[in-house]
Amino acid sequence: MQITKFIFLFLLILLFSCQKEDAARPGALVPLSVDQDSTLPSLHINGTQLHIETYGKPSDPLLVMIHGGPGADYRSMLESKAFAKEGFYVIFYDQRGAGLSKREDAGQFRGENAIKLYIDDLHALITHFRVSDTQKVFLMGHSWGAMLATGYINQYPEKISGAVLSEPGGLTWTQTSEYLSRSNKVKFFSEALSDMTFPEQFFAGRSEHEILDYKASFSATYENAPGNAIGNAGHYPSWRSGAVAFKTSIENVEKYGFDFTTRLNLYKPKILFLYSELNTAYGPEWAKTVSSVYPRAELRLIRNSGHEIPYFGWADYYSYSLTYLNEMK
Amino acid sequence: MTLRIILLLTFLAHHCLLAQDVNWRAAEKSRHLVAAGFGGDYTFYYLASYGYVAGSGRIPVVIGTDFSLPFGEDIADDWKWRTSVQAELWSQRNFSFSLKSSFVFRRYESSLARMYNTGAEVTLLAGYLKPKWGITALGNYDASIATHIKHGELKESYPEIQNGWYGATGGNFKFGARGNLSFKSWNTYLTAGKHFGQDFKDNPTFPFFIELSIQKQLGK
Repeated sequence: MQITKFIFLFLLILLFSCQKEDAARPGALVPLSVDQDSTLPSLHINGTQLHIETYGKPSDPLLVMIHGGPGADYRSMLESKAFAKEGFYVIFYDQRGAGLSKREDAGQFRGENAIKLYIDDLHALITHFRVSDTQKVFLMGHSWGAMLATGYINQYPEKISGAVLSEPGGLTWTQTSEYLSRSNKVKFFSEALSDMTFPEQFFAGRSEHEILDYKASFSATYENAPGNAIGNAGHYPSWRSGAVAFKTSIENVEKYGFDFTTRLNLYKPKILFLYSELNTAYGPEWAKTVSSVYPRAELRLIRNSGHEIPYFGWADYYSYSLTYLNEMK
Repeated sequence: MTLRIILLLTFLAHHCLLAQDVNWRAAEKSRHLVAAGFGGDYTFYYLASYGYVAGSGRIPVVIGTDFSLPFGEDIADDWKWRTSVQAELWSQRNFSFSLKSSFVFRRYESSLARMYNTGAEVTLLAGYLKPKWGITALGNYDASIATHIKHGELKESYPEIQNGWYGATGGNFKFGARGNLSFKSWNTYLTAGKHFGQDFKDNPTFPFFIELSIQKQLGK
């Protein structure tokens, strides 16, 4: 009996004494952000530090890429730097608190004006890069990014010469929540659900952003699991899920709502509205419904792609977008 | 390190510990408790458990083990194995106060990562127990001790991410209630309650848990 007690204690000591990494250490489980790694390209703007890349000639028409989320990043859109060779100055940025941009406290996303803060960041960015009053500005938004692009157009219709919008969930909160009820439908008893929620047993109750961001990446396994409603073929490249930005932004719109359509009737240029063949939660009817608030919208189906159109539907995305942008240029 | 864990678990298994629902008034009649059940606790799962009624003197003790598997297409990629010792520390008339301590070992696998996690649990139970029925309030803390992570798709996105052992990644609280009915040598248990992350801020996606199990008492 004494021997078994000794063995038990010895094994416990071995377990507790071995070298273990701290999951919250910056860079351990998620990449460093621009405030932690000075080698990353960044811009201090509107009271935050954004991860930014630009391609092309600064005097060419601006093409601002706006990623989805909230809280995601632009990595899956990077092929769009090809537009730089076609005479556009392409600007990628990770939104406030997202991707490799500086993490921000939840409080920034809680106020009634939190969504306006995203629009203000975009405005500050356009103002920073626009070198003349005659330089045209185009927006390319995906998912939440397409919603944000519309929010910007609604506020500054005269500043934007055209936009390519890929599957914005909705342009009001009511519309968006209706779409989310289809796209994020919970499949109880599924492998996808276990893959998302099982690790919450032991990654639990920690407030460090690094751990929250790592946990948030498990939501992507649900969204992109085989048979997913939004038609994604699987995993796509990303840097970091900004968990705090995502969670508090969603809580914010649940509380305050939003309506990006109030002045869209003033917007005269044509927009290009893209929707994917494989996203069963979207489809042509929803594309018509969402785009109908724009006075002039050209709808295009992206074949063999799910919701992540700029990545999985790249060939058609590039082709249709380039034709449109050259027409509007 | 993996070898150390295996050795430790083998040791624990050989000494036959338990994680078993117990109606102390009914358990006195038997030596072995075998149960099966299903529930929702972070994810939906089914489980099997075995318990051995070891103490029958001043402090009744039940030791044993349970094993649960989440529902899903890949049957054995995720599981939870718990071994526990529980003892009724105080009882008077039909009131009962017991303590359960457990060692937890979990496996998780998805396209993002494969993980082995060790944890420790402590559960306090205060109940009103009769031979035929009972109701119990419970409070539980489940702490992660260490997790071994082998990264999958995240390694493609972030090549610098390191495989290996990570220290305590948090813990969670459970507060709930359990009702039980006993008939001859059979017991049924329904447990339900709410989860919280240990900081009461980072709470689980599904904040509630529920479990229904049926138990057979064997031997004396």
